Amino acid sequence: MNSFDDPADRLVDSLLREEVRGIADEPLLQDIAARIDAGRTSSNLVPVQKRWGVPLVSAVAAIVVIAALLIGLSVRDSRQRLEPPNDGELTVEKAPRPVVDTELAGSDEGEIVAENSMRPRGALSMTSEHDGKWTSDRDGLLCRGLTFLESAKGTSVYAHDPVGGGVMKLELESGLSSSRRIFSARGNTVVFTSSSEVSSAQDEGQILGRAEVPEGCRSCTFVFLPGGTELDQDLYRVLVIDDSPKRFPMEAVLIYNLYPDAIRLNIEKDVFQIPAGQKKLIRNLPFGPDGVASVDAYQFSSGEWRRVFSTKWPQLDRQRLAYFFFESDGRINVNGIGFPGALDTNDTIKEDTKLAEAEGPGTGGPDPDQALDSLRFVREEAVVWYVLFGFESGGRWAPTLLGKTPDGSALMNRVAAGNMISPGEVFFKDMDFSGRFKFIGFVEREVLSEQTGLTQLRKAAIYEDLKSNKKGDRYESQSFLPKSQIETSAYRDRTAVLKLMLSGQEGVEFKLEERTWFSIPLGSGEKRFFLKQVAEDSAVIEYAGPDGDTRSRVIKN
Amino acid sequence: MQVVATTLPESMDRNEFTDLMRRHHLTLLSYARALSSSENAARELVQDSFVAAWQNLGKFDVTRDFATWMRGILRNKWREHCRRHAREVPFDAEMLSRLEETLSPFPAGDAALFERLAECRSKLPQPMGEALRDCYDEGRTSEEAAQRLGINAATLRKRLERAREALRVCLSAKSQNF
Repeated sequence: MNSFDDPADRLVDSLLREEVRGIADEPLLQDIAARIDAGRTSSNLVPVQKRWGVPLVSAVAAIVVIAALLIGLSVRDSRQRLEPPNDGELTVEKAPRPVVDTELAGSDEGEIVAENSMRPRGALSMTSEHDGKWTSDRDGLLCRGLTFLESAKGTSVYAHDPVGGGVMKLELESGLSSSRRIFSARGNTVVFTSSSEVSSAQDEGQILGRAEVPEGCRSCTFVFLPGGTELDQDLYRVLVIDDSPKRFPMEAVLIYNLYPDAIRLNIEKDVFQIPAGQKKLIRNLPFGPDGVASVDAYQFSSGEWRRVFSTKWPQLDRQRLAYFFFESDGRINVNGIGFPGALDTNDTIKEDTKLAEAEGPGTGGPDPDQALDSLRFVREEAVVWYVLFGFESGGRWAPTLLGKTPDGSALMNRVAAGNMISPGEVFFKDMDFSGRFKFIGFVEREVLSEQTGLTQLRKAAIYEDLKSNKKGDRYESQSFLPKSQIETSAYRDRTAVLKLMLSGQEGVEFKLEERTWFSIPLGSGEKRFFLKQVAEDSAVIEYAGPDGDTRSRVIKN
Repeated sequence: MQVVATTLPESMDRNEFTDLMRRHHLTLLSYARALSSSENAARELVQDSFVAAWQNLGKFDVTRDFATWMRGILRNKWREHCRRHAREVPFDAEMLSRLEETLSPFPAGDAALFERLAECRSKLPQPMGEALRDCYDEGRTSEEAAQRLGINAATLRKRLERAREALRVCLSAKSQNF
């Protein structure tokens, strides 16, 4: 008998092939998801129980409301009775929009604080008596724009200072990779419009959103969330996160509940409740024995706690995590994003300076400007790579590396399913990219499926670079990533091919990887130059000027 | 082996179901390939089965594990498929039990199964291990692998067949002392 006529043999043959392939069958999973979505009308965040039970729940809710009215109780009272006993101090109030006027409070662990920027649209008026000045000694506010809204990603808005008339263009990005801008303003109110015209900030018809920057804030992220649907409400609700390490400490998790229902997070054995319209900063995140924190999120709806999602948070390791619960199209939406600890804080900048002082160049020797005049950019070479999500089970991960070197050779490596790694472990063990990464853990990301047009939560693995010139850089591998998107999601290790036109080394070509120090002339021992960035047609070199100031030069071909 | 929830919670949202799909789909696909020798039919069967499972979550018996439940759904889908396509003949109960015996020790899903498979492979005699490595890991044809190993292709194919049978026994519940 031909062995492949034997089903048991076919079974093991298939298992072997899948085990060797080492990654999930994404096209199959996507096909199934598309078929399920096609027959589904509710959000992926709405629990099945809720979707199946809508008529029943509605009927029960109606009966409860009528009964409450008849006996003179408010809905709020009846809800309080329905809450679990340990939720006694929580007041659940169904409001169309959270209204909180509390000043931004301190950020002790477990403390519930509210932020004035979480006011409903329209509550902040252009004619308010807010004439506050920046109280810090800064020249401006270091800021960036973040949005989770597909329609807003990649667009720009103009931030206006209605007091001083300052205007700044702000890009709305889906991540925190964009560089920050400095917004010079005299007042604490920021008004966002689609126009750079100063007058647009006075025109209610042109205002897209507004925010109040907390006193003393020097560095912030403006988060653009859906605004109201009423005519007098802005298009965006803009949240201001003071992302300085003092207000948002390292390894803390910040939860914003902008949804009209209360939210509860069960993290390992701890329970955190966040009433509607409030935020909570959680420090000293509890972790389980496996080094990750198991998280179950619930919303209080129709008199009971309903699970919104379950996930695991990794050890944050000088990172910070912010989660936003908000209403969009009548449904609860959840977005989480990691705030980098490095390069974001004054502390880190100081550390970088120290590093540069320790390892960096001296300022003696020939004029650096003249030395750089002799340098030519020849071309960029890059190793393009991506770590496929592979398998995960119980917080452990079996990733697979795909890559291509500049000469077209393939890079390939994987962690076998039999040796799955846990958070904190270094991979890969040998061969390509051996010892290059440290696995941090899993997070969930909301992604839009091009196939179905629906957003869904997808698990992503976070891992950190251990390579000397990229140490600390963090990357993501997203589950269910379509094959067609691997190329665009790939990372690049860029190298510049440079040529010297210097007497004695004329025409000498050499290769330098991005973010490394080098000397001119080559081998002179004094590494005064830092290859900061490599692009397809240029390289950016940093060096210390005669006065010790940092200078930058773009070298082109 | 890790302890992983194998039964469904009382209520399950789409994301949890997606997680379960991800955790079990490769084993289920292999099971479908065992039942139907057509790759397209096998993939259709897996799709149909997960869609049916999602639509019938309420009927899931929480005393059983998800993997077993899914294989039950897939078997029903396959019988329907056989009825529609007369040329495909359902297997007898003995063959189905043999497949079940191989997969039932892995209610936690693909990762646990592949972990055990890797362990089983490491215990194979060297010639079998080499044959598997050449053909599966390194993607050689049986002719290429046979040439490299200095044997004829028919011998290599027989060796591969024996290796797969050894792995099947190792995976099955009766293989504690493999």
